Amino acid sequence: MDGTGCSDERMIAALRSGDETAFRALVKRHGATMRRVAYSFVSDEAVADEVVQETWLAVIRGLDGFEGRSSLKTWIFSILVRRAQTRGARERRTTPFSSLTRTGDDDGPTVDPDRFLPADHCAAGYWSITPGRFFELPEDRLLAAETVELVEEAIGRLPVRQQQVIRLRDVEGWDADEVCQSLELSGPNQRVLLHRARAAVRAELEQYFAEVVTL
Amino acid sequence: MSYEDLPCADFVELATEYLEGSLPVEQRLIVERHLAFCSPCVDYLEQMRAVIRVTGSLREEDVPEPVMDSLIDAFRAISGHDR
Repeated sequence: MDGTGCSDERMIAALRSGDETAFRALVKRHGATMRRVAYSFVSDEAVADEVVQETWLAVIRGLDGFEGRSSLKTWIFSILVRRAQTRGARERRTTPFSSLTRTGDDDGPTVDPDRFLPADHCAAGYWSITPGRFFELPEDRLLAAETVELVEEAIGRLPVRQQQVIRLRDVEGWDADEVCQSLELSGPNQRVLLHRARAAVRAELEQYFAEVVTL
Repeated sequence: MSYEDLPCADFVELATEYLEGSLPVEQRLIVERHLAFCSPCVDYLEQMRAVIRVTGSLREEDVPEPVMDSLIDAFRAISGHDR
C-alpha cells in the first residue's frame, strides 16, 4: 500500500516543482497497472497505450488544480477509467464481440454444487467432496512460477469487472475504498466482484494441485 | 444458534465478506460458530487465503523505456510552460 497521506503531499509538491525523478517514480509505480485497467475496457493494446498516455498528460496538466480530496492514486485512476470507458464505448460499436460484453456471470454459486450433498440428503448443503489442502504446500511450491502463470491466465479469463477488482485488490494490494473510488463501484458490488474472482481462481488452483500434487 | 444454521454451500459464498470483515455481527457469529465445528470450511477459508497469497505474488511488467522517455518529455514540456 502506498501513495496516501504525507507521501502524497510530498509527491505532489515534487511534481509541481517539475521534479522528473518523482514523475518517473510515479509512472513506474502505476504505469503497468494503468495499462492493464485501460486494456480491460478497450480490448486493444494500442488504444490502451493511448488512453494511458492521455491520462498522464491530463494528470500533469491537472496537478495544480488537484485538491487532494482523494488520494493521488485514486485521482489518477479515476481519470484513466473515465477515459477508458469512453474509448471502450466507442470501440465496442466496431467490435461487437469485444470481451467487454462479458460482464455477466454475476450470480449463481461459485463452488460446483456437486461438491455438496444434494437436497434430498439429511445433511443437504454440506460438503460431499471436501476442499483440497493445497494451502499446506511449502510456500515455494505454492508460489512457483507455474502456479503464478496459472493464476495469471485464470484472471485473464474472468469478466472484465472481476479482473479489474482482483488486480487492484490482490495484485496491487489496494484497499477496498481505493478500488471503489477508482472504479466507481459500491462497497457491496466491489465485494461481490472480488468474491467471484477469488472463487474462480480458487477453483482452478484446487483442480491444478489435485492433478499435479499428492498431498 | 448452531452449526446447522449455515450449510457449507452457503458459507462458501460468505467467505470473502467474512475475510473483509464486512459481515453484520449476527452473521459473523453464525459463520464463526460454523467454522468452529466444520473443518472442511476452515480448509476452504485457508484455500481462499492461499489464493490471495498467490495472486499477491503476481508482478506487473515494467513500463517500457521508450514509453517512459516520451512521458518524461511531456512532463518536461508541460511543467516548463503552460501548466
